[in-house]
This record gives sequence, structure tokens and C-alpha cells, in this order.
Amino acid sequence: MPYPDELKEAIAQHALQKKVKIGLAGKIYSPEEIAFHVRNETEVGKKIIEAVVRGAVERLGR
Amino acid sequence: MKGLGANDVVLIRTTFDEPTRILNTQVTPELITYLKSRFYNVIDLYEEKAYKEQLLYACIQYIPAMVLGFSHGTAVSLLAQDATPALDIGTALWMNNKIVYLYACHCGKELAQALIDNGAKAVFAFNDVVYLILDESNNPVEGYRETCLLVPKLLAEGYKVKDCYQAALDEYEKWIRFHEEKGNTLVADLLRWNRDHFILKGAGESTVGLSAYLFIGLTDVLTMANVLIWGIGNIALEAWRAYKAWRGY
Repeated sequence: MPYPDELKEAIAQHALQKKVKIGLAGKIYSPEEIAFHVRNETEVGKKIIEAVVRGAVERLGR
Repeated sequence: MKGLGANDVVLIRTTFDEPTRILNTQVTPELITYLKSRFYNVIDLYEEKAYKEQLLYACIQYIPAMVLGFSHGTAVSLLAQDATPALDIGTALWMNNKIVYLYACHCGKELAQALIDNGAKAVFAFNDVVYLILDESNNPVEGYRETCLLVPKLLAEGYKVKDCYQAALDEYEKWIRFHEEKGNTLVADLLRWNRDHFILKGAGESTVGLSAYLFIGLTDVLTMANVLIWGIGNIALEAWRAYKAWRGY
């Protein structure tokens, strides 16, 4: 089941705003690349969304 | 066999792509300095030395108590400089009686258990991907270096494996909260991901450092004993000479 567009856009905007870069599977992903992968739900994007959802769940549980 | 075993640490550090290059030029050099300052003999299998043959050679020659890998990984292997396996299920026996720390993706899935099954005392590893988290200048974010290096540092200090693991989880938690409070929730979530996939297998009571410090302590005791015996011997010798001179020998 695809993730909601609002969630993907929020993550993409956050990555762009905070200028976070990620090293994963042999490559460094720039904020723009993170935004692209999240918006398009690629394998890398799905991993990042999964991490954010886990984080949100933990924060809600506090 | 050059080393004393417990004083030797083997590191495998690759630089075959951008993430491993950043990890092993900006993060792990600090660990080497730290280990050397604690009198460990560091066998650094870096770049062109980060191969299976070199690892086997190091394990035979030095009998290290601790092996630390900072590279890419798969479910069944830690990768060498040319992306072939440096350590895998087939060579798991090499880690017999060692504490192993694998900072690499996926190694916690099958490799960690294989190492335990082949006699490793304990294995720290990740059972999914591990994120390298950087700021816009390609520097590791605050807390990344600390969470990456805490376990080997504590092991070197002689802490029990289970205490090192708990300390690492607490360190992750500290930096997750730090980034959440700063509004960097993505960084916090990626650190949380790393924490949630960090596993420990094996004997929690194991330690590394004790014999190193025992050795240093023994060295001190032997030095003091040597000085004392030498001093007493000299005094006795001088007394004997004075006695002989007095008796006119």
C-alpha cells in the first residue's frame, strides 16, 4: 500500500529544509535526492519513510 | 606470534566508496588514537590491507581479543576493499574466542550468529541497513561519531559486553532526544533506526581489557621489585666491600 502523499511531501520538505544527507548502500544522498526518492517511493525512499514512521510512533507513545 | 593476544585489536576499514571513505577518514581514526592511548596494539587493516588474507594473517600472528569492522556488509559477510568478503560464514571460525564489532549493514542477520556458533565470545552488529548521517558539509551530524565509537571504546576500557551494549543504547537515546529538541526529527529518526537494529549476540559477561591492564600493572610491580632488589643488592655489596676493607682483606 503506498504511503500518503502528504506524509511523503512532509518528509521531503523536512530533508530539504534541514539539509540532511544520508550515506546508504555505497552512495551519499543529497537533500534533493532524498526528497526525490521519498516522493517517488523508491527502495531508498521507502526505507527513509519507514524510519520516520517508526520515529513518529515512538514519539506518540511517550 | 608477536602480540600478547589481549593487547591486540584488529580493525578492518575500507574506503571503496563515498560513505565508507567518510566513515573511515572522519570517524574511525579517532578510535585508533584512543586505542593506542590505552596501550592497545592496533593492527589497522586499512584500504589496500582490508582483505580476507590480511585478516587471516592478523588473526594468526597476533591472536587479537577484539576485531572491529567498519565497512559495507551483507547478511553473510563483511566486505573487503574490493567488495569481496573479508569475513563471512565460511571463515567464521577465525573469530573464535574474540569479541567482534561489525559496523556494517545487515551483518547481524546471519553472520553474527555464525560467528557465535563458531566460538566468538560476543558479536555486536546491525540486522538491517545502517545510516551514515551527514550535515550539508559532509560532516557526520552531532552524536553520530559518539554512537558509532562508544562500544569499542568501552570494550577497550574493560567493561562487560552487556554493559557496553546498554551504554550504546543509552547514548543513542541521548542524541535522539538532542536532535528532536533541535527540531531535526529526520536525523533523530535515522539515529533511532540505527539504534533499533543494533544487536548483541553472545556472552554478555565477556570483557576485553582486563588482561591488558593486568599486564601493565604487573609490569609496574616487576619494575618496582627490580629496583628494590637492585638497591638492596648494591647496599649489601657496598657493606661487604667495607667489611673486607675494615678487616684488611
